Amino acid sequence: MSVISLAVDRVTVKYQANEVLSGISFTVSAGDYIGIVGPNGSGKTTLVKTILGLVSPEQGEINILGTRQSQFKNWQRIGYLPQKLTSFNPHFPATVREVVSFGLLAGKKFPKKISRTDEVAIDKALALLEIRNIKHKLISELSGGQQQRVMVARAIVGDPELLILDEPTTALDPETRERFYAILKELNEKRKVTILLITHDIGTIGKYAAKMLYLDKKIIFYGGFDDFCASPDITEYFGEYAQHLICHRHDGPKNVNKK
Amino acid sequence: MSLFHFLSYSFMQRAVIAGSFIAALCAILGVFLVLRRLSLIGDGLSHVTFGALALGLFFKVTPIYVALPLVVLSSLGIIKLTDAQRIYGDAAIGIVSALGIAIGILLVSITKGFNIDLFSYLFGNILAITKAEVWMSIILAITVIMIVAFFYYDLVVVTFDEECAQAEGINTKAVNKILVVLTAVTVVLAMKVVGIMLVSALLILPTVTALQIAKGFRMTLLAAVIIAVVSVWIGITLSFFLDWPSGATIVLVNFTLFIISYLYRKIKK
Repeated sequence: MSVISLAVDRVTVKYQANEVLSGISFTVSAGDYIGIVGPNGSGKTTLVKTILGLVSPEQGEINILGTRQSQFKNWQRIGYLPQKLTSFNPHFPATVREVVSFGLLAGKKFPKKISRTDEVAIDKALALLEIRNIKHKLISELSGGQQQRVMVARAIVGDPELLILDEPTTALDPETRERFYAILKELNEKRKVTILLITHDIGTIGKYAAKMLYLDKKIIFYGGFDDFCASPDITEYFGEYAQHLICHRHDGPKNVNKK
Repeated sequence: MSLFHFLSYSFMQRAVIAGSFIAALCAILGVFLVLRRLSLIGDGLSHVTFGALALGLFFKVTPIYVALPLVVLSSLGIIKLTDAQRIYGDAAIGIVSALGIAIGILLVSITKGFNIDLFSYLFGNILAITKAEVWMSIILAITVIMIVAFFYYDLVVVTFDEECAQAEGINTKAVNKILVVLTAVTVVLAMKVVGIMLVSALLILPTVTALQIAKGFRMTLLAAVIIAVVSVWIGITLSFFLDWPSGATIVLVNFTLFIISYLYRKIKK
């Protein structure tokens, strides 16, 4: 039986009177790669923020890596890349190496220090994201795509078991985006990192993620991409034509519903 | 007579020692405040200091003993107001700042006779710093620097990206409180160097100068400290020889260094 990395049970989130998530339940097994998709305002970011404890749910329970969220302390086991690059100050005077090192500090005891082992981990993360050559550059001197890689390196430097990324490819050109997805796939397959990735790019994520979670305040669909394309619920939700367009981009499924 | 003969005066020695410690302290905290766009908190808290000093002089209590707890409490008040929904951070600073000034003006106007004392606090006079004040500056400065060193990485990570830091399990609210309380203590200390009116300059200028030339966070901190301390030395020296007001001179030296670093960066590009 597979180990459960994340269990979300009947989670409801309200912003004042406005219900943003309604009775969300799903589980993620260790080593899964989940693409979270849905329209603007569907609650994708709120869902990951609730998982991370940044937003408190009105109802429901979340279990992370075998521990109830309220008792969960080992946040360094989770890597997180927030939605916008603008969540950090772009003029911050830190070098790439310094920024990546920030990802190692959460689990440390006071007074925190970067050890020799940490230096090795930083080098590995820089190498994996192919940014070793810019490690002494200031983060403010980099392009959007390079900054994104640095932030991913920061998210993975602590060797997380669960990696949560919120629209990580928005600043990337198509070529860099493909390379970025390949890196994530490598992390997922070789390092067995469980990945939750929010994106609008359903076609591309269909190529990489093992499962899709389609959200629109509640879960519309949760399962494999082929099933997504064959799902009558999705046909009803999107309409046949839109579903076909999404699935056609993927080039994969041969079983798109045709009535 | 040697050029540095003026340093043989004990009041000059006191000014240089206390000024260096306080300037270094302002520079360290200033880096965090400027990068978090909280630099005006120094201005707001200095206005509270004005009210607190007026209160101290009104009740004939050593002003600094009234100012320290009141300004620390006000800094926590700003955090509390900012946490409340519908009040932005700058508006919270504005509220507390206006309250401090209003109380100060009220007390000054209903009581005659201490206006000269208050004047020295408003514009600062480090050359008149007492031995006891020097010791207090050194002890408080070392304490604050040690606290910053202890929480260094948490302060840096929260300054870089608060949301990420929170998701990583860092208690960002506690870190924010530590930063504003340390700032409050620093503002009260710094009023003797440059005066209430110019305290925020000591927090802001060394940082923005360092940001023009330094590469990396640690280098920025180090550069800000060096710029701040050198500005105090040059400022005190000029003030002695030219008989200029010390606070304003220190700020103008800081500003000159900022212009030089800004032009250097422009030319280098």
